Amino acid sequence: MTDEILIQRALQGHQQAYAAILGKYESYVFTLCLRIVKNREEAHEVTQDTFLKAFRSLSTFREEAKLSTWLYKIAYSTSLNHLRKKRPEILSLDDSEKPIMITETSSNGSIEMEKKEHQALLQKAIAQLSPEDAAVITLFYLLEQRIDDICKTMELTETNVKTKLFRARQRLKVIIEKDFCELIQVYQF
Amino acid sequence: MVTENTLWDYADNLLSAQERQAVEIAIANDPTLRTQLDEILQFQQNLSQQTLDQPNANLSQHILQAWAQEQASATEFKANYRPLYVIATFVGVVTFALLIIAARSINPIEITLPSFDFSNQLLLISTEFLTAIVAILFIDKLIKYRQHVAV
Repeated sequence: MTDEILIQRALQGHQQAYAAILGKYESYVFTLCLRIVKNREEAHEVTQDTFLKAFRSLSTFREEAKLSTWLYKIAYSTSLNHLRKKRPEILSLDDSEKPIMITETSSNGSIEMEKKEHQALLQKAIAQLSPEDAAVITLFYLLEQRIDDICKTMELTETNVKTKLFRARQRLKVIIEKDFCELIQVYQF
Repeated sequence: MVTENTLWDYADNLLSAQERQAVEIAIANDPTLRTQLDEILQFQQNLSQQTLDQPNANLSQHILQAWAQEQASATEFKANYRPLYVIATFVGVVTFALLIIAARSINPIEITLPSFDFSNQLLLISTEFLTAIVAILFIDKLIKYRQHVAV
């Protein structure tokens, strides 16, 4: 069922349509929220807020945008608002902000490390990025959003998004080289 | 001049056909650029192979329950407001009808400025009642607008 039909049916009051929208986008929205707020419990709260906001405003959704982009926009702003309220000290719009440090580090340098561990390693590196850097990397590479969609989500110009993406990749590379240097050669980061 | 930024844009398919061609020519003539691009492609592949994080299994259920509760509250809220809307409509129609009747019966030559009797309790209560209805309707619109803006 297409997004347009799901929205129409939801607006007509069909609860199953809301469940279908949720089922289709829950993991994507949760991933974006988690990458920004960096805490599973808080990501659950923010995901719930995101969908409730979206459902409340579904009648205002304009079909010139994609439903996914609209949801990510709500998720992005809800996550940033959540951080501003809870931890204002870590949210800076300045690109030179300090990364958020995580305590857990990889101690297993085995060449036989499985792909899951490889993914976990990358996620740990992304977790050290600022919320905005993590968001732009996640939107572009994992959620496969186009640059113009990211512009709408983050309310930035195309040039700003491209610059942010470039800087975020650079920082990610530095984090990987610095904190996970023993694995670089193994996985050719 | 092909910079690292340009190579990333090339890898991410963000360049025009003409720009891509220029990069390909530069890469063909410069083994260092080729190596740099290979590293970028490897890094890009790693980024693209990330997997989605899965929320707890009961998250959907929580969201749907919260949404159902919210809809039930909204329905109850509307039901509570319905009598007010009925009264407001009735008062509005009666006032409008009285104004028309009054306008038809007025002789323009005999028009004198109205004099209000502020000791008239009925007039005061009616005015306060109408003001309260208008205020409630205004607050209702304001709350809806703020909810909309919050999204």
